[in-house]
Amino acid sequence: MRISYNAPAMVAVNSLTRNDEALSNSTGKLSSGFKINRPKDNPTGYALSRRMKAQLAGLNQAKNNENDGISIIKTADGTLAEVHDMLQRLNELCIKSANGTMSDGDREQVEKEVSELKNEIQRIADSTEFNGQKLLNGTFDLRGYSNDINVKVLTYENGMTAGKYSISFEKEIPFLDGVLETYLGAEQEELENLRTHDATEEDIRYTVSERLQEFLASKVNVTFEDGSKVTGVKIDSMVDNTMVLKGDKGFSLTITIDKAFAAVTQYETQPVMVNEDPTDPTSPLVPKTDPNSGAVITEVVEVRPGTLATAPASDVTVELTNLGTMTLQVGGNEGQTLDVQIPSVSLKGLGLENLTAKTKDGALEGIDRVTAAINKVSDIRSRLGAYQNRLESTVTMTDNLNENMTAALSTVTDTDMAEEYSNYSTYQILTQATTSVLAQANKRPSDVLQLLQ
Amino acid sequence: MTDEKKKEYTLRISQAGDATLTIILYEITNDYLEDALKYLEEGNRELFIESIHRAQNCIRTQQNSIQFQYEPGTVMFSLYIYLHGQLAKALAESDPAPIREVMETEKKLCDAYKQVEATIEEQPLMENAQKVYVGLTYGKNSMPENMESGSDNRGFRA
Repeated sequence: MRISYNAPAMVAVNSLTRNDEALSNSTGKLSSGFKINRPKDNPTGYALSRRMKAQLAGLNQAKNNENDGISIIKTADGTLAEVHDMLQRLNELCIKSANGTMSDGDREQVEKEVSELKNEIQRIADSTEFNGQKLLNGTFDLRGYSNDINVKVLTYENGMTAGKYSISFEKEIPFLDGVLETYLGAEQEELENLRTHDATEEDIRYTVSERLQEFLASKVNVTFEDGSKVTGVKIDSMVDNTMVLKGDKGFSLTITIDKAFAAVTQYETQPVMVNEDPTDPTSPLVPKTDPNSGAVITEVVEVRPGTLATAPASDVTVELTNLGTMTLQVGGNEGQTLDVQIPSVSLKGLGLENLTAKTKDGALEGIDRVTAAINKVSDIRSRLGAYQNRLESTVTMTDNLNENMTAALSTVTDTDMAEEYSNYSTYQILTQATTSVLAQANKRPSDVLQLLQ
Repeated sequence: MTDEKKKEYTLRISQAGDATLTIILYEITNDYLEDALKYLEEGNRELFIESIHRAQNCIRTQQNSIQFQYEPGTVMFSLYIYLHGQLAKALAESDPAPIREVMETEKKLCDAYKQVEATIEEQPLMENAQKVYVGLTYGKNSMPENMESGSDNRGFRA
């Protein structure tokens, strides 16, 4: 057997195979419209284009997220506009009721409308939602906790350092019969006086107390967990059992105090003392010892009593987590987020729980409450407006970037095209001198110096 | 790039406005690419790779400075992406051809910006830098002419 090898034929076959492959590659490109069909066509270009396509897909989704964010904010703001209108009406009703010409019967009628409006505000806070998530009941407010069951963190300013804050009040928190006094409180004597004259509890509450005034003007010491002090902390306001504390460097914390919170009971181990001479009660006291071992006998003694209704302890520790806001993913990469904080607009959050226009004093005081609530809602709406502006400008930017990246992706993939593009660029640079300088105007000298290192 | 060349660039950067900075960036890129060609010929793979990376960093800086709201920006962005890719190809294949292509493109753009620079008046971008007149340097604390100013600080780690 002879094995023959036809060299020319082999060469021809190889040539044919190569040409065939080249032809099918070219056909592939023509039919798909892409110059880069497979990684082997242009490995670097392929890798670049895949990465850019992933980036584009990410940007598209980010844009959708931003649009959702804008919708949520528009929903919340639209609802708050309704709340704003209701508060304006409440203000009118309180002013009307505070007028001396109104009779008790008239005030009863006014109170009916006030009640309805309050219920409506609460309903709005409880039911406004987007995609199944409640927006205005504090779901997207920052979370905080306290070490005392009777103290709750209602809200705080976004931007405060997360961690534990110890709060202690210089003066005793004024409680009346176990209920936190507000500027609806009364001095003890006055209280007795009013009670003997059959005044209602409500009437009793509507008297400013001196003890309360002293407390409101007193100092509050706040220490962060690392030992640093928060300076300038004062009680900004106290309405019903909601206290707002404000201090330097953006410290703003709102807490509710439900009851007189307990002092921490302290115990100590002390030796049991007995008379030296058991028969003589006047003999000096000595520590009791065990007759067998001679060891001193001790007992646990309460040195600082616990819960006191009239003189509660005045310190509490609150922990701010900086969690709870709605986080919107507004970019194609990790970390490109926007935190949206939406505080609660419930009656409690606005300080309107005990609002009443049934009495003249209640109405007078109601005017102040409603004004404060209107300011709070305005504040929330302007904050939402700022979020919306940011999202809208991010959408525009993402749009632009998306469009430009798409354009960049689909253009230059070969030499001839590059030459054409560089000629076109040169032409643009020369004919649009100012614009061409601005087009590459984002450099800093420090960045360029860095390239020389 | 020699130290002397770096000092020269540093001096120019300290006095440069926007257009001049762009030109300097193109020139630095081309200097690095010339070095890359030299090292490729010599067979020094390590330095060749380093030079290509430096040139790519320069192109990336140019890319990052693009302002899309101006029409030339979009076109130049596409070009820079392509040039970046060509350098990667040169690195992978140890081929001088793509490097020469990049250098030619950068030179074209550089020449165009040089013509533009001649027509506009610019202020230096670096504040509180020393003023240089005819090669002599006048600083805040050194009014007399100073021929020996090698230790003066002209900017960030310059």
